[in-house]
Amino acid sequence: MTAPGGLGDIFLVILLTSLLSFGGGNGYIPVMQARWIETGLLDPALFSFVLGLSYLTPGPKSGFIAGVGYYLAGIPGALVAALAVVIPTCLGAAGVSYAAKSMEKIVSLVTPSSGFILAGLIAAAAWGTAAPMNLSPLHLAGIAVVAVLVMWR
Amino acid sequence: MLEPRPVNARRIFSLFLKVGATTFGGMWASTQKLEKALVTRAGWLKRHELQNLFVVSTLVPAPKFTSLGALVGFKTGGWFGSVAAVAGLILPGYVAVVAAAAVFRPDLLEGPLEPLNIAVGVAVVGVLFGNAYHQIRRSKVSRCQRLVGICLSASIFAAILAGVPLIAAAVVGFVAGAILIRPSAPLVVAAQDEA
Repeated sequence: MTAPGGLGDIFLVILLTSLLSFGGGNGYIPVMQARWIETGLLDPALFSFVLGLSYLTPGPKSGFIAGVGYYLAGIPGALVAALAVVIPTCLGAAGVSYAAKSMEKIVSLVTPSSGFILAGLIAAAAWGTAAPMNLSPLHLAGIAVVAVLVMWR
Repeated sequence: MLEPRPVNARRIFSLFLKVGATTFGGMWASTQKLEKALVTRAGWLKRHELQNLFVVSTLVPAPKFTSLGALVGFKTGGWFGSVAAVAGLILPGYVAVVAAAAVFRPDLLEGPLEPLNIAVGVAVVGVLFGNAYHQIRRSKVSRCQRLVGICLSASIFAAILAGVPLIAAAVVGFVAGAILIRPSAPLVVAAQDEA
């Protein structure tokens, strides 16, 4: 059931790794590397490929999880990987929602500043995305143009 | 604040399917699109509620964007809404990644598709910076509080760049924001929603 790279293994590893994914999907990467790449079950080139694809495809960037599931166990692997994302996400969201319900006063206190907190988090995400890209001055100009267009909209 | 409202799970799935099929670069790059879809068009949330959910999504042990979908789905349609939102949100991207993995060779991204890869990255970074600006611009606070808020944004940005975990930066930002930027008038939240 839980043979390395099998459906049970994919489900459990992704389900448990969700607990390390506070604030983003990057928590999956080191665990997948240790469990499936370093053990030879998954070619590093394939892993890099699906990581890159998840930036080119729409929706959440966690799409690479389905790609890893596919390379390990075909379509059933991709489905099990998706299920292992959906379950902890919905349980965690429900838990946080119930907790937030009992903290309405605190939520109302942070509401006026939430836009500024978001701005800092978004800017950090932008920097984190740009840093590994080895950007040329032309790319930086492109970023500036897109940013101004979005600001102006 | 987070009481579920009865919205049909099929409608939730449909809306998030559209969001999942038309957004690139993750949750932070999609804040404006989500605001239009959830606040302006569907009317399921007020703007400040969505802003709070953006930040709360960093507290859920799961990827942020899917967490946001689950939070919105749970708030508007309960458990079924939560599952419907996450399923709709991830379906287009997951199917596209699996389809591409099945059809294309891994060296494609370093060959013919490299320019597209870089162009998408450049666009996403630009959209992110633009969205960060919008979050500051739309905050309805006094001029003095705005300056404090910009310093708060800059501090969170610098802290994350210095290696502080995102969740820690968000929590400290919440606490500092609650202390430094108090509602100066009872209608601050209402003004935010009207904007």
